[in-house]
Amino acid sequence: MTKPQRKHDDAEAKKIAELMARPPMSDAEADAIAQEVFESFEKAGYTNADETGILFGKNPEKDKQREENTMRQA
Amino acid sequence: MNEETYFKQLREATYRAAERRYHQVRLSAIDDKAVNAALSGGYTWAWDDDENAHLAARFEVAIWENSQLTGLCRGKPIETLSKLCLEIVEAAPNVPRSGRSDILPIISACATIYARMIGASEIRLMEPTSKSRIRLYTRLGFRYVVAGNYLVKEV
Repeated sequence: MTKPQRKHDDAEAKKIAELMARPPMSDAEADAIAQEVFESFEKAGYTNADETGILFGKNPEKDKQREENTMRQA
Repeated sequence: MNEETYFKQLREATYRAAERRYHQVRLSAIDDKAVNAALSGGYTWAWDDDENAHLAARFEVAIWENSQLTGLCRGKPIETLSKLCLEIVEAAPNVPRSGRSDILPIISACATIYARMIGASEIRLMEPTSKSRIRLYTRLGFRYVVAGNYLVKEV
């Protein structure tokens, strides 16, 4: 976990500086967002019937990385 | 405070907010404990060797329930932090679904909170692996972009 981090461009550095100067989001606001997302899934009638394995993020490059990982584990 | 510490604090605040709604789970960073649990738990993604793991502003969450790792997600902001992309989501392959909570609502809650915290205007879910997930997120207000194979929603 010691890889060097990517350098920011000027616009990104400015955006991060602005973010860091902002007051943090309140717990109440964060809780309201969590509740809103919870209710949207309830309304959609979601069940975890197919929640197994990779749910998002399948492409050839990632498949190759997965294969390498599997081989490393073997 | 440096950037790594700042964004870590944002992620931690995100976890705590989602835990207040989903009392049955504990949420954490994808740290060594989570990576080891993924390796021993049959997860297939290389969570310990993901290039996004080293970005200060990355989004990530590990979901724990009854001391078992039940899901992992990692992503990153793009285009001057204006969009949050969830690039990889993996659910526990070996934990019975009847014995754990749904992970997608929890991940979606965390991602939405984090996106708002960093001032992103949209969330993208990259490369859904089934049509049922495209249908689900369409019902949740996302739009499927065929050309890029992702779902997008303004937040």
